[in-house]
Parts: sequence; C-alpha cells; structure tokens
Amino acid sequence: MVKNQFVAKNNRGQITVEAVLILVLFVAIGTVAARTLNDMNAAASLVQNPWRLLSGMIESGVWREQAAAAQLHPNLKVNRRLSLTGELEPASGGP
Amino acid sequence: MKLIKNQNGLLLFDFIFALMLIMALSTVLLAVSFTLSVTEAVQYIAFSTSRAYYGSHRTPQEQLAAAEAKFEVLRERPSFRKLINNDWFDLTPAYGNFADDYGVGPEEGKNLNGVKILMTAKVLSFSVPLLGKSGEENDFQANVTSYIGREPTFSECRQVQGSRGNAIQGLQGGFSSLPGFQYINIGDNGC
Repeated sequence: MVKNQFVAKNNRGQITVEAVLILVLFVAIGTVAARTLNDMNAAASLVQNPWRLLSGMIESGVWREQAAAAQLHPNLKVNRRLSLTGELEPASGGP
Repeated sequence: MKLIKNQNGLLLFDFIFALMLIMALSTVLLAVSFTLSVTEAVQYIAFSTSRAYYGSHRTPQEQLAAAEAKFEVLRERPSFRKLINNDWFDLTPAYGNFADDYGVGPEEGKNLNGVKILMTAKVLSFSVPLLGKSGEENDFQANVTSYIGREPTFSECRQVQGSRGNAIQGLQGGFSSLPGFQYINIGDNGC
C-alpha cells in the first residue's frame, strides 16, 4: 500500500475559495444581465413605446400613434365632440 | 477548522444590483409621471392662449399679438415658470389654422383654428445604469392643441361688408339709380 503523502490535512481557506467562486458567479450573472438589458434598450422600450401612444392621446384624445390619432381629432368631425368615438372607429358621419 | 461565521457581505452584490435596478425603474416612473403632470399644465396654457386668440380685435395681427402675450404671461407665471422654463421641457407655440397639418382642405379644416403647442419632454431623454438610454430629446414630442376657433376681426368684417356693399350697388335695382345714392356701412363691432 502506497502511502499518500499529499493529503491536505489543513482545510483552512477552502471556504474563502468557494466565496470567491460564488462572487465570480454573481459578477458574471450581473454583467450578463446588465449587458442584456442594455442590448434590449430596456429604457427605450419602457419610455418610447408608451410615448408613441401618449402623444396621440395628448393631441387628439385617441390611444393611437400621433399620425393615426391626428386623423381622428375631434375637430375634424363636426358631429364628434368627445373622444369616445375615436377609441372605437373613425366617426363616419353624424346622428 | 476555523469556519467563517459572518456571512453578512455575501449578498452585497445582489443588493447593489437590485438597488440600481429599482432606482432606474423609479427614475423612469417619476419622469413619465412628471411629464404627464406638466402636460396637464400645458393643456391649460393652450386653452387659455386659445381663448385669447379667439376674441375679436381690430386686425388678425392684433389677435395674434394678444395670444402671444397671453402665452408669455402664462409661461412666466411663477407656478409655471419652475415647471416649464428649465432644461426639462420646451414649449413652441403656433397660432392660426392647422388644416394643412392634418391634410384636409379648408372646408374640413374650418374647425382647426386655434393654438398648437409643440411640447418637447426633454426630461424623458435620460440614461440610467443597466437600462441604457431612453432616447433622444426629439423622440419625446407631442402637440398640445386647443382649437376653439377665431372670431372675425373688425378689419375683416369691414372688408366683407365693403364687398357686399359693392355687390349691392352693382345690382340693377331701383335704389342704385336714385340720385345721391350712397352705401353706408353700419356695423356693430365691424360685423
């Protein structure tokens, strides 16, 4: 029987190594997540997409993009004085 | 073996990541909420300016001057000045008939007289950690409108009435042939 002379009897420091590994893992996950969010233009999606509809609502009172909403502006239709019609379909006439 | 019993810092990185994400999302929400609040204020300015533009005057130029003066007065009011006159918002007013902007003719566009304020929400153009840049300043524009019309002015009414008088004089009626016939324009406030 060969005597193993390289058995590490001193385990001190192992937890430190593991802590470093976990930290590296966290850093890696964080970096990937941050990069993914940046690549997705997350801020632009959060603000620009809603703003397209908001600009239509602000100008014409209709939840559509600005150009489409402008065609439904209440003042374009003599018989339309509320924005409710615009949320359904363009007013095609009056009562 | 000596174990590490203090694990307080183990989740520090997670905490920092979550904190940054929450702060970024909070910034987005606050910016959008603030923009919508200011939009309400600008809608009031547009309506009030349109009221000033609506009222009759001696000439259309004076109507325009009244609207411009009203807009400036409102913009410089302390309550609005802090909201609007900063680097967060930009207001560009325009006055008149906007039928061309909506691609309609004069008949369909007769109800499009008033005030249109181009609001640029520069506050929505920001860059936050993790989430990136939200967009350029010009990406966040909206027209705040108030089309309540415009009354005819004294000069316009005089012009119309004058043309009407000439037309009456041109008729082959008995009155035109009377000696000393003269058309006198009597108008109340021009019309």
